[in-house]
Order: sequence, then structure tokens, then C-alpha cells
Amino acid sequence: MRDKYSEGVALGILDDARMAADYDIVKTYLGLEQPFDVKIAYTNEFLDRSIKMPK
Amino acid sequence: MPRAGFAAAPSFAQTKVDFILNWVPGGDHVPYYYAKKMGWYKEAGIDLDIEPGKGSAVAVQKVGAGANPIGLADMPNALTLRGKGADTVGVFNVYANSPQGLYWLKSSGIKSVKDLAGKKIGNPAGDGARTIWPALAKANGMDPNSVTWVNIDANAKLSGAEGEVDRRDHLVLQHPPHLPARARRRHGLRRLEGRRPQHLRQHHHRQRRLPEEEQGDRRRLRQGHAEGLRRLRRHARALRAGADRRQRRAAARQRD
Repeated sequence: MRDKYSEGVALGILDDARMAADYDIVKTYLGLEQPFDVKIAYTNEFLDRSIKMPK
Repeated sequence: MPRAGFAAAPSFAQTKVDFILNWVPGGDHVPYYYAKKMGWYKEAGIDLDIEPGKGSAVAVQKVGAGANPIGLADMPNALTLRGKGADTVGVFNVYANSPQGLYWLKSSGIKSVKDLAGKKIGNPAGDGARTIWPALAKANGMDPNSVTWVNIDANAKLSGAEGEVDRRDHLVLQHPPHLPARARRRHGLRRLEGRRPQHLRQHHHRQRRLPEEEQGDRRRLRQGHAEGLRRLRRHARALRAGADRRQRRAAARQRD
């Protein structure tokens, strides 16, 4: 749970770069039946950004 | 797609939400049960039911089909099933780093992930670890089909290590992620130390895209989860600080 995003941005945040990297690994190693824009697969709109992982 | 899970209730009523876990309840699910016990979901207007899971794939499929409005799953399963049409969306990153791991008997002589070739891996059929295995194998220059998967019960991972699964084949287990060093020593287990893919590290809550009137419920649910995690962390720190104080007092008494 502890990384620079949960401590500095918001608890539960989904980082664009990490999600893109996740997508690439899944596509490369696991295979995708239908490729898609990874940005449709997550959202941060429900997060309360005032809640962060305590340091 | 059905819109099951959220009742059309007046604003003052509790909204019933059926939340499916990725797995049978375990230590990593404590924040949800803790927040429920403390009434933080109710404070947020959510009447939460926590349903034990049978693997991330099952959780994603049930959420995608509308049987549960929200669930807990790992991202590789969610992305793979999204590619097959599962209408789910990640809304909260629970683990910054993957909790998944491999354990094997020290006596097996296995030194690295490459030594797993030809071995059997004991793992429940619906476990997300099976989805990730090809990535781990390929990242280490292995053929993913060089191991044999053996089905074990969902809550039998540790008992598998104790001998329910076939030790003669040096059967290897995926999970539990946080098997303590003391337990590893007791069972004569080693932990994976090979190269891991660098990004398959996140567990996520998943949900389908919802109509506007249901998004407020979802936001309040997420706030309940986040508050549970935050307060539990604070509670754990207080407990640890108390234990440290007791240890110091005990040591001082012994000196006296």
C-alpha cells in the first residue's frame, strides 16, 4: 500500500504510467483477445484525495 | 447489462452493497471487516455485505456480469478479462506492490525460478497467480508450460506446504503473500528470489461504469474503505507503540 503515490497523491490512486506498463505486460506476456485503451479500464474520480497513506 | 446491487432508496436510507473479495477472508481483508465493525460504512450510508471470493477471475466475472456491483481483484485478471468484454473499471489501488509469491521446500534444492521447470505448482484453480505465471516465466526466459499446475483448495495454501500436496515433486505454492519468516523456517520453505516483472504489482477494486445516481454511493463506499485503511494503520501504529512501551518497562523491571 505504501508508495510515493499513496503517500503523496491519494490513497488508492491509479497512476497513468504504471497502468500503461501493466497493460503492456499483460498484452506482451498474457495476451489480450481485444486490445483497448487502458484509460477506459480505470478511473480516479471516486477518490478522496485528502486521504493519504500516513508517512 | 443489469444494474444490480444498488437499491433505489431515499437519501436517508442505507444503500445495500454486495462487495465480493478476491479470495477467502484473510489478513489482507481486515480493513474492510474492521471498517464494517466500527460502523464507518453505515456512517457513509452503506449497508455493506462482504462476500468471500474464489479468485480474482471470478470476482471480475461477477462484477462484469452485474452480480456484484464492486469487487476486489488483481489487475492482470481485470485487464485480461476486459479484453474479453468484461465491463469493469478499476477505482482503487489497494496494494502498491504485488503480494503474490512462490514458496518451495528448501530440501528441493531449487535455487531460482528457472529451477521450477518440470515441477508441480499447487494452487487453487481460480487464483490470480495462474494468470500472472506466464509473465513471470517469460521474464525469466522459461517456457510457461514447463510446470504442471495442481489444484488445491482455496484455503489450503499453507496446509499444502505442510504436506497435503505432493512434497516428492517439491511442489511449490503461490501465496500466501505475507508468510512470516518464522513460518517459513518452521515449514522449511524458501521464497522466490528470481527476476519478477516490474509492474504487475497492483491489486484493485473493480466496478462497472455506473449511472450518475449510483456514483455517489460508490464514492461513499470508497471513502469508507479508505478511512478503514487509514484508521487501521493508525491503530496498528498505536498497538506497536504500546507493545514497545511494555517491552521497555519489562526490560527496566528486569534491570531493577
